[in-house]
Amino acid sequence: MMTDIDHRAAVTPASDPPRPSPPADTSWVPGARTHPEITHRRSGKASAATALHAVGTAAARRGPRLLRRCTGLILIIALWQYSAADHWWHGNIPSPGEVWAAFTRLQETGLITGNLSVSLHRVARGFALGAGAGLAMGTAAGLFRIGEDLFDPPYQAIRMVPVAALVPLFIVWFGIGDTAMTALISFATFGPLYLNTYHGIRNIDVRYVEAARSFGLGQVRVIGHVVLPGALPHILVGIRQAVAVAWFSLVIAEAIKTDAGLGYLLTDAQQFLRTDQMFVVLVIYATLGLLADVGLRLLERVALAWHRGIGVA
Amino acid sequence: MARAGRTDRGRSSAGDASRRGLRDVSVPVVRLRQVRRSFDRRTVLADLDLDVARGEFVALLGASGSGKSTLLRIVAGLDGAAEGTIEVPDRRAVVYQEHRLLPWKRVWRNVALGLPGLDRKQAALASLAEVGMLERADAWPLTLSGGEAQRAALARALVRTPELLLLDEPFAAVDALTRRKVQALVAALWQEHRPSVLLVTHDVDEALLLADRALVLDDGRIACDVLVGLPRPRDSDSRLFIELRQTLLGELGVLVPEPGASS
Repeated sequence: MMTDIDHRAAVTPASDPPRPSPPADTSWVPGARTHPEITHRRSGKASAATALHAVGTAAARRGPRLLRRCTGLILIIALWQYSAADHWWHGNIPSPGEVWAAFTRLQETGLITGNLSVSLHRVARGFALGAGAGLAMGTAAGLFRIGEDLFDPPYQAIRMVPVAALVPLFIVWFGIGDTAMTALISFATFGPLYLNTYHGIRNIDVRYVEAARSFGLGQVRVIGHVVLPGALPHILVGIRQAVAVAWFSLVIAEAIKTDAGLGYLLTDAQQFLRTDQMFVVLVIYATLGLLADVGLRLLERVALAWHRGIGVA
Repeated sequence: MARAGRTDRGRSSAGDASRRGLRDVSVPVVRLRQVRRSFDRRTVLADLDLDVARGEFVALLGASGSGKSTLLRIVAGLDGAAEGTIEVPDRRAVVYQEHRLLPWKRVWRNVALGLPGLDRKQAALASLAEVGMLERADAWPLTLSGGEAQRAALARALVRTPELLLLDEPFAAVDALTRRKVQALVAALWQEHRPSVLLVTHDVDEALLLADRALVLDDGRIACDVLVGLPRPRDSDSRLFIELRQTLLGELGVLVPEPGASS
């Protein structure tokens, strides 16, 4: 058999390759580069890997990228400025300059700092209560059957109630004031933390728990070393969602009636038709929301460094 | 398991042991009698008896679903529902098919997981050095290659100085070349530290390369118990090796042509 092939190879012209074997023949050999298709595939893979790498670390391209990312924002501000000057819109649009002027005026009278601090305190209080309870009860429900049985059915029953629908009830219960607002924000932030913590814990690969047990870790240390760190990505998602809804419910809460806070600034500006001051408050809302998000992203970068390990050589 | 009068293998049986590959058959480290395990009335292990001697390397072969992983889990103490007499040492460690390193802990912290004392980092680093992974001690597990991860998992088992090392198809998930290297590493580490080893595998050659004894599990029983009396390091082309391979493959129900019948 072998000799037969050799014989034919000798007879055929030199231009015809003697081994037109299918490429699969050599592909299992590590480092095989005999077939052009294989080398091609390899280089393709390599470039994909470099591209992945570049997304994470290319500091050289950060400059132009930052410029590109700012372009949209600059365009919007330019459009805003143009709309304000041209008056094509029937409503009153203050120009960015006018908004800035309104901001500095409000700042000089101390209205910004004072009201901002009141609002931030409300959010912080509500968030600490609601998210804290969500984290604790989500952990209990994730870890223990009894916790799940106690907390999950009631949560499922009330989770579809919109926050805004609770406003009248909370006003009756707590009156118009900080207590009602704190309760509202707590209610809103509970859900995201509870749900994500619970599912984060339930989604942990039991094989990690089993491995840790086989290395002599007791229940408490399994929770500390395996369960909670494993659920952390989910918990952080829950925190980000909770921050967003906390902000949202603050606006709802402060829209009811308040004598201090950003919502007060907003309603006050509405009464005097001061669109420039209304814009100031909106810009503050946007800026604070952005800052919170950036802060949480940084937290994720630190806390989930192991997660980012994927793709970085 | 409390055992009185443990032999100090450094002194009492050194001469005898070196001739017989350091096996001390008189003291079983693992002793299973009449072990049964069923899942939903399906019997996986039926009245199984097994002894593993101190320092002995036992390979457990079997087709998928033959109950070999169940047996390993029972010996590892991970299966509470098994019946029968189960005597295993307290100091035991498992290396799983998937490395099961916690992704949120750096490699050395994975190795040191659950170790007592303040010098746990030193112990972890020493163990990592033994498997050639010292320079990866601070890496995140997700950045390791398959072979590196298995070596780290080996270090995590070894750092506990186990009396019994349980290997659950630890080479199944790595590529063929890496598998050779990790197998050689396991052989070297076993000769250095001499734990009793129970290796679960479906690879007959792997069993014959590493083990003192090869068992074939079939239908919940040990169908075949073969002493592998080959000198180490083993040559997979030697006549005895090939004969043993034929025997074991036959026991596993794999039909193979007689050696020498082909070509």
